[in-house]
Amino acid sequence: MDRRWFVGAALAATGSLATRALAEVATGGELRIGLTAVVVREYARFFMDLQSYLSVRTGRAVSFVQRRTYADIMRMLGRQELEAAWICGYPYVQRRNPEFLRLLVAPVYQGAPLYRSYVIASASSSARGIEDFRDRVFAYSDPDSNSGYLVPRVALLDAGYDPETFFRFTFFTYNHAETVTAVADGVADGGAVDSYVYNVVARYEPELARRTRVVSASRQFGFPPIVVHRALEAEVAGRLRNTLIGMADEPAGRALLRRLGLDGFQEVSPSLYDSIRDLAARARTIGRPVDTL
Amino acid sequence: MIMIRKWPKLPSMSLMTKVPLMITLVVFASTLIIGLLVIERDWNRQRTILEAQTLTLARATAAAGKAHIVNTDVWALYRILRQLGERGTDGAGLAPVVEAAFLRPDGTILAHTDPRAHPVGLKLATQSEAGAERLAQAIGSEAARLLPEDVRTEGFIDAVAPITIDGVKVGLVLLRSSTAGLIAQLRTDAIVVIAFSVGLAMVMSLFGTWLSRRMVRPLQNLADGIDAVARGDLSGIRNVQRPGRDEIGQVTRQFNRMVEELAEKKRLERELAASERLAGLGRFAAGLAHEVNNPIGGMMNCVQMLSRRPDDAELVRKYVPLLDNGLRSISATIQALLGELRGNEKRTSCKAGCLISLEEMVRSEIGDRQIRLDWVVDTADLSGLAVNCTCPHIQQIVVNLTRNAIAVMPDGGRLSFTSRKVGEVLELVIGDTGPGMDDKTMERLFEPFYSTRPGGSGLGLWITYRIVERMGGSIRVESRPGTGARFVVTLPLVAARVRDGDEGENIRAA
Repeated sequence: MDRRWFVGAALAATGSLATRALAEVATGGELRIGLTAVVVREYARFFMDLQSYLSVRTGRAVSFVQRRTYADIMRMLGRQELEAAWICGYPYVQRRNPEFLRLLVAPVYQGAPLYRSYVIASASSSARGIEDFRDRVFAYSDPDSNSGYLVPRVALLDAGYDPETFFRFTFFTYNHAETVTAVADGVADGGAVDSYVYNVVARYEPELARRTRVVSASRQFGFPPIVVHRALEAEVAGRLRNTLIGMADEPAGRALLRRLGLDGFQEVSPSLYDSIRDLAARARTIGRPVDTL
Repeated sequence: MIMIRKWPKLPSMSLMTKVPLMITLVVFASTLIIGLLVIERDWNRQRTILEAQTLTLARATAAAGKAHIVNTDVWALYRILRQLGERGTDGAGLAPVVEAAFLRPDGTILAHTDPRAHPVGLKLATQSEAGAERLAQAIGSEAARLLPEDVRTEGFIDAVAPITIDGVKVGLVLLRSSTAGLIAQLRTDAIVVIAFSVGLAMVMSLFGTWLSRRMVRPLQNLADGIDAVARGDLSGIRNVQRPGRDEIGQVTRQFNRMVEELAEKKRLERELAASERLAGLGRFAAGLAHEVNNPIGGMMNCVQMLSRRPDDAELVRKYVPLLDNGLRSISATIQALLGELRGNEKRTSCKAGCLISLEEMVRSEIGDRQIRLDWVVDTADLSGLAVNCTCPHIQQIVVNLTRNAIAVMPDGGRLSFTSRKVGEVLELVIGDTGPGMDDKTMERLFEPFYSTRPGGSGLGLWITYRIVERMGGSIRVESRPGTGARFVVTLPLVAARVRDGDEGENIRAA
């Protein structure tokens, strides 16, 4: 999901710089990793650090490429404009013909490759569930986000509501962190966010998080994974996987992980995302939201 | 009328107060007025800048939001507005945006800086019908413009910028900036101006005090000098020193010169008076010596003859009367001098009636000379009044003067005597048609032993003068050669006492 990307911020800009810097250590082709939106300035430096870390460890010139939406990233992956991407579980489970993705690793967050979807509201709100936002303004993160879009809509369906008409108005922020801002500022009465991103926001921008509160939390889902294009050489993919998994085993990697708020990376089974696949199947029974303005 | 009554207060103040006060007031007022004018000008200029900024910002915001309007990306629109707000508070001089919104052409809110009050998807609410009309006008704008200010929007500048695509209006930006910062800044400026005015006024009042001291001190010195001169103190001149080159300096110099001349004149007068006194004394001594020497010469001859022939009875019979005459003559002279110089006789008041009996005396003095006498004594308004002397004295005055008049008209003429009350004095006028006198004669007329007539003792007018003087009166003579002479005597009148016995004492006390 986009949350990781919330972290991603400035890499698009910094990527090329780092790439050039690392040209000497790179022994093969460039390794382009896609991220979505969420330009959080504080994280630009982190991705530069991560980029050089990965470049040194993989022997490839790693660069992060940021786009606004998952759709953009998926399209780029499909065209092999990217070798890898950090995407949400929802795009991962969407049917592709032919399938061009290969699951690489998933981050470990609080001991497991799992996270939740939060419904948040203004700190002064008395809402106790998503049902309390009927006829209000609701913020989604990305139409391809599990936690920021799919989960709340299916929850409404399960509760017997039509997500298309339940809210008076909905909009996308394309960024979990910005959903927090939208709710804090009162642009939206409620919003759906990634639990991991919400906690990162609370850590780096406590003032902002304090103006909101978590109304409800979903059950756990598979954490947004790192995927590679099937066409990426297995050796390179393996080196990237090992590098990521090995981060938790040495100080520099652990320092980076600490900054990310993650425990590490691990190999996961595609079945980890079956629950999201189920939600997606459920959501297909309803259409996509249509702007009312 | 009130103003006219109030104004005279100022001129009554001292220059020492008035000059600094006026300088202070003028400086304060002019600084304040200039300062406030500058502020007013600045206000207009700043306000114009702020209006231009607001309009430019609305245009730029509209341009930035265009793509997002098409996509209905309300979050992107909101972020644009939020940046406006942030930019407004960074003090970079841009219009301080207090409110901004993206609207659909139907008034639906796409984004608003105050999302809680103006939620996305609702029509923009207005407070009044007028507000609604204003909003409708704003929505109807075909080009970016400032909305006219009205009472409800005082303190704000409202701008609207429509967003059109291919000539179709798809939305608009409403932007409101506040003039509060401007007003606060102007208020600070005004305080600075006022403080500066007060400060400058205080400084200038000190300067004014110094200046007025400088200006007024010479004037004060001059005034003191004039005061001293008025009191007769000519040494006051020393106070007016170091005159400058200005008008006051000129006046001071002229005053100094005037005082010097005055002092010189006084000194000359004193010297003249002293020499005249000595000359008069000399003449008096000469006159006295002459009066006494004449009889003494004859008497010394007699005594010589008698001592040579002491047994000559015929000689004794002949010379003793001569000696007797000489001694009497000397005695008479001495008596005349002593009598008037003593002047301590008991005084009584003399009623005007005693003048009437004088007419016969004067007529007998005239005798058979061809002199006409005009005798006018007006006693009508003298009842209850008297002059401060004895009857013989007033009679002596009249007789002396008329006798002189008769003497200067040996070939006849007219003698006039008039007595009347003039104000608080009794005026006696004795006129003759004799040869008159020149100035030189008149100057010495009242000196003792001065006479123009052969054989005259020169004591008559002197005695008259002394009597009049002692009575508190005055005597003057008016004459020119060939026009006769007029002696005017004035004697003060007092209330007459009923009891004759202590009349004199009472009158003195009165």
